[in-house]
Amino acid sequence: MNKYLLIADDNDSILDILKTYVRKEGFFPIVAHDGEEAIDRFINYKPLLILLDVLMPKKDGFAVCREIRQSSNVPIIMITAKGEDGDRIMGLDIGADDYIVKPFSPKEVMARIRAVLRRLDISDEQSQDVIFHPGLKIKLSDYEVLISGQPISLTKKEIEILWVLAANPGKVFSRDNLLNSVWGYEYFGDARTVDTHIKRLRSKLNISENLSWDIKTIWGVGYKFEVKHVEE
Amino acid sequence: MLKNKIAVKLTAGFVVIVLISMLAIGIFFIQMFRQYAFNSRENTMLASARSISLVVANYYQSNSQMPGFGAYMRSLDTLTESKVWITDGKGNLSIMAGMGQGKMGQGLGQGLGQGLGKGNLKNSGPLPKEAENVIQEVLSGKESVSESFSSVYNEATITVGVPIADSNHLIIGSVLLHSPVTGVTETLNRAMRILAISLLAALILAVALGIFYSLLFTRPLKAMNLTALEITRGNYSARTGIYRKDELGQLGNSLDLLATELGSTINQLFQEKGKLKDIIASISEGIIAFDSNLKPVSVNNALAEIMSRPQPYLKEDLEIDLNNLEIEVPLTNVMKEKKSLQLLKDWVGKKLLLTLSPIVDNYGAVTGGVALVQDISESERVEQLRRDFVANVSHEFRTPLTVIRGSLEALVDGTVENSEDIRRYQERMLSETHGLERLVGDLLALSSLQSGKITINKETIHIPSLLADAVKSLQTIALKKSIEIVYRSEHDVPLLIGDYDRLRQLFVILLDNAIKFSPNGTKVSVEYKVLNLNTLLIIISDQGYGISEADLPHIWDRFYKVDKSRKGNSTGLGLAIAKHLMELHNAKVSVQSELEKGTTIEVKLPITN
Repeated sequence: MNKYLLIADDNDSILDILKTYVRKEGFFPIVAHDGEEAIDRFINYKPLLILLDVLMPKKDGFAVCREIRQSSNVPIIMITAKGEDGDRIMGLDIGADDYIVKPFSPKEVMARIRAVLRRLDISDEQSQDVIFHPGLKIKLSDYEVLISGQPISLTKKEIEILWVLAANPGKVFSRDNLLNSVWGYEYFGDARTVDTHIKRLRSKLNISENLSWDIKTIWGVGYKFEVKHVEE
Repeated sequence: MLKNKIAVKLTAGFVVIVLISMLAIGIFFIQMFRQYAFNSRENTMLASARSISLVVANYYQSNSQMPGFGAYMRSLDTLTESKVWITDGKGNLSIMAGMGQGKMGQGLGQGLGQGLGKGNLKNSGPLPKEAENVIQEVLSGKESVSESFSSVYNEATITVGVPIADSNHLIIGSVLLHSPVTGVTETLNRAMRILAISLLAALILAVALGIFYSLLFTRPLKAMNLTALEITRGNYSARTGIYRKDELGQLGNSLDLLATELGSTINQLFQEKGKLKDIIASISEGIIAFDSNLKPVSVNNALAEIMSRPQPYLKEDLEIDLNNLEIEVPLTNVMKEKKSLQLLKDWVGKKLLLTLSPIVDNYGAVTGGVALVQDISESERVEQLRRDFVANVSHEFRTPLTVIRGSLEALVDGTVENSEDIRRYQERMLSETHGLERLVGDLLALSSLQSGKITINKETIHIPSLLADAVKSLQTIALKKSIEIVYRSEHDVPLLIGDYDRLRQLFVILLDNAIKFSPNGTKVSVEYKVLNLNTLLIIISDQGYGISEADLPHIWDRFYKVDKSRKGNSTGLGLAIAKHLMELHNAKVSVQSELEKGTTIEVKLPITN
């Protein structure tokens, strides 16, 4: 499962407000400041939904929407300061699922996001036992992990650790947390077991600088799955 | 044709009148004369007959014993200048013979015949035919007078009969006198001759007069006719040349007056038409007039330009263009419904507004149509600009409003709980409010500058001090970004006339932009030079992000932002205001810029302002 939500707007304050609400709704906000960035982030993160401002530098929202629609049916909600009927119709015609006019209420935006997502068919890509991150796909039922499309051979426990971390990007897990989640409460192993597994996992995954995500060590606490551009 | 001519009619009229009146008078007088002649002759003859009758009666009463009776009888015809017959009571001439002197009647007849028959007639013994009736009448006791024409005398004759009565008033005979009215016929003939001659003279006179009068009438009539024809042909200076005091003269004068009035009216009409033509020609909209068959009959000069055709606009081109405009059907409808219609058409990159109207005459009939062609590309462009401006303004307001509303909601519903975040949200709202305030201020400034209703306080300005002032006011902002403003105010420059506050505002905007679009730790420099003694050149250069060549022409447009992601607290109106401020001071500006290297703005201010 993937909980990324792409927000494209050239105004930082609006991005900030929307980010706050999106996170509160339980999604991971990915932001873009212009049209080109929006397309780039869309390709990398395959977000669940896109909030798209119309007036943006480099490429406007209509162009972005049109381009995305050529390859994807991802839900798109357009946000614009232009409230004229012509613009709404055009936005909806080129493939937007909904249209919100500024100034909007953030709560209304969230309600619309929920409404659009409710109508969505949960397909394979979005099903519960699959997690997507840029360049990473974990399918828990098949115990399959793909990095940039290449299958990686991992043990059951390694996959389970990765699953727990990747399912909650940005969330810090203590070693005990991870032990309980993966091995269960009745397992009385050493917390060091977690460190060993993480180390092995890191080397197998061959995490390098060019990947958009990382398993980070938080000293004295534990680990977290970090994805670049996912705003805190 | 001849009989239609007034001269002929007039002459004929004269002749007929003269003829009738002369003849009437002549015949009347001849009759009068004749009557008189006959009457006097009759009276004479009656008197003679009566005296004869008395003599004859006496003769009988004296038993035929009367001396000289015979001689009297014999000389009777001479005395009476008539033929004399005496009859007995039965009307027989032989009564005379019965009296013993049977030869008398014969003698008388012979004598008379001889006397009056010019000696050739031997005897005219028998009574003329008419005498029979006369005798009968006389014998009944009445006197009788009758007139007749005698072929013998070749004259009119009078027969008079008187009865002879005895002492007992018994009719014993009659006396008949028969005499030609000598000379009457001749006199009448002479009178007739005179009448004929004078009639002829009168006729000649009538013809002459007729011709004279007809000439008198027809000459001015002809002249007037010619004048009228001239006027019809459009020569309003034609005059009849008739100077008379009669009705013809008045008619001529009226005609002349008519020509004068008509001439001046037509002249006025032509002037009006000319004016109208000039007006139509000078109208910037194109005008096409159509006849009732939808054929274009005339166009004005402006049309060719609007339709992007060279002058003169050829008829073939016009027809092709009209076909392409597809106005035939709407024009037909307009002429049918007598209602104007407006159409929008695209024409080689232009937008044309066509107003089609019918031409209706005084009787309500449609005699054609007019198409007014307006090129509304420019007004359309201005309208588009206005729409864009409104949309921009609305956008510029909506964005800060969205931020303020979103932040407020987040604060109110407790989405932000962290005290640090709360403060951040509050500060953001404050800053957006400032932004809105600036936007409103800039919009007001721009609109007052654009409306041209702004007043300039002209004063002498010392530019180095003004620039120093502007630099000083931006020092704080520059320091925040550790940008150094390099300003050298070394040499002095002439004073110039201008509005201090507005010029300061101009340089503040330019400097502010330079600082805003420069990375931290760079330099912005301000310099000035005197060019050609009448121009002051002020150069502001930065080491900022620069402006791309594609953006350069648009930087002075309202709301044009080169890069929206780094707009910061810009309203997008600064340079638009700056442009107007420069226009107010007749300043010229040039911008050189290179991306990532910096921008240099040169403002040329005329000193002789």
